[in-house]
Amino acid sequence: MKPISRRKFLKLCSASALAMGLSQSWALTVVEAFRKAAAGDPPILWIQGSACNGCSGSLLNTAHPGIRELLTEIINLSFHPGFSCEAGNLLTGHLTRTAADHRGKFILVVEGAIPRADDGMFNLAGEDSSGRPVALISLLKDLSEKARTVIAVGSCATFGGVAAARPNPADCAGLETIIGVSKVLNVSGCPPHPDWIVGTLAHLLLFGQPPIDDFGRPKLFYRGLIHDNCPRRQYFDNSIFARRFGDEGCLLELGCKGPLTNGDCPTRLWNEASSWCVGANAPCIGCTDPSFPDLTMPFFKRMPEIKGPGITATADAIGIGLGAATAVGLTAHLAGNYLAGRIGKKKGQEDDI
Amino acid sequence: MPEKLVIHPLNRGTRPVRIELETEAGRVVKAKAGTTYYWDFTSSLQGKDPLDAVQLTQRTSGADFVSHAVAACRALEDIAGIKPSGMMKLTRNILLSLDMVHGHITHFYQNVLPDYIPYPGGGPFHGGVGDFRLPADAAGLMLKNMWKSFEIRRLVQKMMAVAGGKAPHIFSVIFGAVTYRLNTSDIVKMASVLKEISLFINNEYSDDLARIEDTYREYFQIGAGTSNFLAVGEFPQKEQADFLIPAKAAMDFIPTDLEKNRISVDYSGSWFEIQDGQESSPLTHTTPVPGKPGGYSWVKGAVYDSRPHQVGAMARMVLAGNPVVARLGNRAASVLGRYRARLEESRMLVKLIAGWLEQLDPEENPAAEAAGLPKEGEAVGFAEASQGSVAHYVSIRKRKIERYNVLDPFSWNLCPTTRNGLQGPVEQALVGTAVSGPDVPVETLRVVRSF
Repeated sequence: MKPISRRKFLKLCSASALAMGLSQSWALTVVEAFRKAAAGDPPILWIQGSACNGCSGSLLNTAHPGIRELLTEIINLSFHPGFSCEAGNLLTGHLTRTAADHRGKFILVVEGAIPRADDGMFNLAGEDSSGRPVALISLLKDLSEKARTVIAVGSCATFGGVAAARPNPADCAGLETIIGVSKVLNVSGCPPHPDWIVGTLAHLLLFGQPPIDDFGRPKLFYRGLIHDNCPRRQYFDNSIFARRFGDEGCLLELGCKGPLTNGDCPTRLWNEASSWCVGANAPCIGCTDPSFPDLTMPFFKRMPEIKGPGITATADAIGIGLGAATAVGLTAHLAGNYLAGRIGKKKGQEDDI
Repeated sequence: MPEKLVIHPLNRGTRPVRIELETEAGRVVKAKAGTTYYWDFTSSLQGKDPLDAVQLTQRTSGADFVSHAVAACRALEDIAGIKPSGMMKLTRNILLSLDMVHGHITHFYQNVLPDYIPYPGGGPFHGGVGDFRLPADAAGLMLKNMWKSFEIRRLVQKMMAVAGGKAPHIFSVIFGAVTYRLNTSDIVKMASVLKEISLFINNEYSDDLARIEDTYREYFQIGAGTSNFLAVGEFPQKEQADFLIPAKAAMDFIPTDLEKNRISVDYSGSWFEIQDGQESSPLTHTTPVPGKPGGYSWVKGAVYDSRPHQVGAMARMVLAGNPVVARLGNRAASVLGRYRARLEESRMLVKLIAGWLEQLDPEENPAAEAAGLPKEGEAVGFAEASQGSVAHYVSIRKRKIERYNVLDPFSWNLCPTTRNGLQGPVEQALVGTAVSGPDVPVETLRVVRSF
């Protein structure tokens, strides 16, 4: 079988391909290529920080490929605390050995935020070989320094997420704040869609670093605004707003954060295309955004920055109005983040999708 | 001369656990069990819109998240005086039971099974604890079923997404309403997927547990824990006011009706300091202090009448009088008894879900009458989760959250030693356990992972 071209891979990953019913092509073509490229390839070491473990739970919902195929035939996941059959004291066994044996080659995946207060005492990851407690932050620094690439999975690991919600007594932070922006690939979401995790790994193994946006997230999944691709966009354009849960209409008035949130949820959908948040008549809570959750709360109140279009405005004017309003909203949110020091600025690469 | 042993992180559960043991003459004589990372939304919820708690607190656990959404809603609805409609109860019951079934399958196939059969080397499954007694063909079959359990879990969460938007972490459960009305096509789809899940529970899962029970019978006598059990009650019925699983607490196996004001929090062994003096009502203000003298865990100790109580499927099935679990008598409180209770509960739940799906009326609006949240108030909302009881305590002032506290199943089962010197259920279950070797004893791992 001919190796897949990067251009074709990106197309297959894109939400528009899914919308056109091409997910079978993903299953057949990409998986085959992925398997060949990854055979015997870099070990992936997955560690968990301060989090709810929902990101691992989400990964297990991967459908094409399924989790069995992914783990036994495609990627070389060498360590994950949720699967390890070792007896106790995980830090001194397989994890440490694999990291040492594959220095500079392995991929480190981190789920969860890293607490910095009190020398990392808010998260003790285990004991070292002499029985001394190891703070998660020192384990992370040690492993990330040896890793080839680090992937932050979930909003806690990327930008701090709910773990770093104010007043944040443990002083939790996302990875890029701790180990620098250049080494981390961000897959945000609370939790991220399994396709985002698997697709990012696929790109990394097949073609190297994927193109990323200003926040270090692969553009192929985080490029579009939820609001722009929302099936309820027409309601917004026509000024039809749901006032009560369960009403027809755009959910802006009920708190939807779609206008500031990036992700392909409206077209990819969740749990094997069963539904998604807005599909359940509930507002997007902005879970992929660096500002989540501090600045996307209150979840069920309309965003103050976003001004709705006037009832009498024409569709074109509404479109322009929204563009400007969205930009203002985003700027306000992001400025808040920079000021709070929660996220570091990252330079995006050229978009070539 | 006692020997000291630390197991940390004890993995595969929803949160890693640290165990400190002293063994003497082949037996555990002292045990401390706790978690070593801070995971608490008490401070971040302060000053927030009360409705946000329903989303934020789901992140307490990547498994059992529905119980947190439901408990948060119930607390707020209590303050607002909202009586959930029949449809709200049904939809929430369905989501909650699916989450519990998911938790039970996860527990057996991901947390427990690697302690009984050898896994193939390679991949994330490296290592093994030893004491593998099942014949190779049985172990091979169980490994195959383990892989199938992932597919079944995916289907369970798919059903949750149909009713809840997505999973993990659902969206349709909000204060005063369920946002999504399941239509006929959804109900047909869910009923069909449910059949596949039921088949797995009644065949593979049942057979695999029976194999372990037949081969490791002595584990009906190991890991008893406390003889106090507790359940906060669950599954309100569409029309009646009572719960299918009663709200009861049993002291030395004798059950009485649960009285919520007898629940308090004991922070003695935890890394939380109490700011309002020594009183430990659930809404007492606390500060996290990692170096606190005497502290060894981030778990807040939940106690009833100042005593630790076991929670979870075993407690629920004992208190609900499940015939299979009842036949075990006092042996229900054991490593194998807890596995059995989870299976029996799963079987019960898939039947209940099928019935609830039939009762759903696609024409009936699941939203309650629109009602505002009062500016002031205080309440507790309870829910049951696969791992045990959940309680959300909230006080509201000027329509903002003044204080919030979540007690989850860890708070009960991993309750650190109390100010009266009483050990938590996991600690009590460890003490007295015979251990086979000087290294990490497999018996202790099985005991801790049975909760």
